Amino acid sequence: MNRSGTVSVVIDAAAPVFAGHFPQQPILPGVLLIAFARQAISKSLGRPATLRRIVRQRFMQPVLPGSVISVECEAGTVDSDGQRFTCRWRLLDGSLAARAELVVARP
Amino acid sequence: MHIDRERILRMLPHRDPILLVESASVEMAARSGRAQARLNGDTTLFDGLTGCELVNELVLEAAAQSVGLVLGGVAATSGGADERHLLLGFDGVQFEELVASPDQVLDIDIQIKETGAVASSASFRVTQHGRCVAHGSVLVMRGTA
Repeated sequence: MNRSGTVSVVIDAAAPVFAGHFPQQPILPGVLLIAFARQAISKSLGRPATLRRIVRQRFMQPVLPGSVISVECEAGTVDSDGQRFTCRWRLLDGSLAARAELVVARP
Repeated sequence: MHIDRERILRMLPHRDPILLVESASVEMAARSGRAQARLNGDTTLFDGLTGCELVNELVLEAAAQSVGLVLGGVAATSGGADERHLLLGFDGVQFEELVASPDQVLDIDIQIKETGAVASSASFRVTQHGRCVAHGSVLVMRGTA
């Protein structure tokens, strides 16, 4: 069964992380995009998603406060580590902000 | 070369609550280094998510910050200019053990693999109390200081 999960997140400029990333030049830490993908994967699996492996992760452009980011994670093959997902993060204009191949642990 | 907090603040643009590395040491000849980091488990970072809920993500962030320090340390000791790096991505990351406690020290070993005109890569291994938590590679791009 091919499953996918999508989550959209408004990047709140008041989020505490921006005080340190970075002062006078707020940019969403790329690793938080991975957290959003986990939320999308949890949604598609119907259970919490624990990251087991990152096959490949690429950040294509910075994500700024005030923007809206959507991540779609499409289920792929299953291996000994768990379920693989292909994830793509897009801004409102449709441009690709990041992409990744992640593996989520079996339950 | 030892890198204390004062030097970390000069070398990295990160500040609390996302500055995770507390200290580091760089072996210039080996192009490697080791850093110590804490993940601040109770700190809320984004949309109610705390460090405890973002453990694996913050392990990656700490590894990336450590790579920045090692690259910067190697460049500084070889006469290079102070430079910052932008995170491009991760390759082949494996999460082994769950972090026992986000507030306890993580040791992060860094080995620079490639340095180019535009991008550099390094392998990392994160341990806590001697147990491997995660390992993989980080890819960074040179930015401006």
